[in-house]
Amino acid sequence: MTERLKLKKADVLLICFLLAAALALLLLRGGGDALTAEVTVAGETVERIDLKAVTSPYDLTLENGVRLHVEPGGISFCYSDCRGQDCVRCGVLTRAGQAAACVPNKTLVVLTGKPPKGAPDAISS
Amino acid sequence: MERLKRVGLIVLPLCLALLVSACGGADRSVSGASFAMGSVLTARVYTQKTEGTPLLGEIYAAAAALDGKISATDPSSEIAVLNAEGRGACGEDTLEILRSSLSLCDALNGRLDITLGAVTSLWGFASDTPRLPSAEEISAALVTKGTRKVRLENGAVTLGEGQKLDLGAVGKGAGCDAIRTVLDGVGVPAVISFGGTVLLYGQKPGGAWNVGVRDPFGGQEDYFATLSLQPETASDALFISTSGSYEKTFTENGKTYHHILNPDTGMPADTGLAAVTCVAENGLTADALSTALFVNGLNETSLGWVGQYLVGAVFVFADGRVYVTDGLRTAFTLTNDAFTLTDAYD
Repeated sequence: MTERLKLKKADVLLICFLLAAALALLLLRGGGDALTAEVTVAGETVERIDLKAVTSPYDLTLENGVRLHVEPGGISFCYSDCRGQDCVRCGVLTRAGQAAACVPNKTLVVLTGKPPKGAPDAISS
Repeated sequence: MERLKRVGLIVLPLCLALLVSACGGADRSVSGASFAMGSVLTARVYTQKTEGTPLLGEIYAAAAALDGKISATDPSSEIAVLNAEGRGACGEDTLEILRSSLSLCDALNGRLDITLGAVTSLWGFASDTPRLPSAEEISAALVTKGTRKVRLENGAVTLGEGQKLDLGAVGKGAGCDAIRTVLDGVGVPAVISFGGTVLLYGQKPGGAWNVGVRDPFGGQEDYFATLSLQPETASDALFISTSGSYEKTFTENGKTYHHILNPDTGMPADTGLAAVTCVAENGLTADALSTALFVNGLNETSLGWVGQYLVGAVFVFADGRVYVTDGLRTAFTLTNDAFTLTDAYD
């Protein structure tokens, strides 16, 4: 005859504490919150911006004259001297995996981090 | 001590499950982006960082290497030399792309034509200064087209009089095929987006790949539907390509012109479609078919080609109606209420 497992009140409290700690870690590390904008010019990284840490919008002018608009959770091209202006028309990047480029100015912005749940892995366009 | 044992017995498995989930578990991935063929190439590979970072480098290198061979703008590329001189030597990669493309052009009744370069260069959609050519200019340039005028002999290619090649309709698909070869060597699940042509390699950890289909009336990152896709095995791949009238446009005298030309008229194709998305097991095929189907419109002939070459296709009409072929109906989910599904065509 095996002895039945009986939980005391203190056991329940300890279980709750451990579960809460594990859940906190889950939310802190696994929620897909990290979102970093990596800006490269001609293959060289010139800026790395933690978009989750941005609290108010600002413009960032690169040495090649390209201007980026940085805002909480997003980044976009707002000025380039290229004729096509495809980069400016890309709009605001907000999800990990998104990228936009000004090809004539060799400027690339890519968002890194874990993609948010439910977001597409890619967009066919 | 007894209490710790009791509590541990219950809590430990739960905590372990939560910790594995918190640390990313099986879906660890590395992502990055680069340029090639005048477009952005984004890649996410599902492996450890130590293996993934060099793999991303190999992927970018494969795309850049092909770009160096078939680029229309790099004057030293094999295709640029061919266009400038009317003849030239080509490596096996370029020859294979030409063979496959020319064969598809013929099989698709000329709805796709890579020999239309003299006409597309008149329009200049790939340049900073696109323009509306005169009817006389277009007529004169149309005379140069024709797949039978292209001769491939012993690694040398000869074009017809005044003929120029334009691989814009197949280049990124061919680039995805080159990247697939890299991934075959390592067997790592990956999702690649090369200027909007998507390669899904292997099986995504934790479930099917989810691909957004571009909203032809919205912005570059807007999608109106998703496709839930999973290649059959870890070494299989699926390719998704979309052609739409929203790309590379310009407006002159109040009229907007797009870059997908009808090879018969040399003018932008107008069949009532705003976009066509194709899913295939080969990148060049997906890319080529999306252009050919856009030009041909939705009809019995097009559906025959879908059955012959593709897993399936999504046709979007300019009025927001959407036709999904049988092969994609279970994978397709509409996410924007402004669009309506239809079974009608012609």
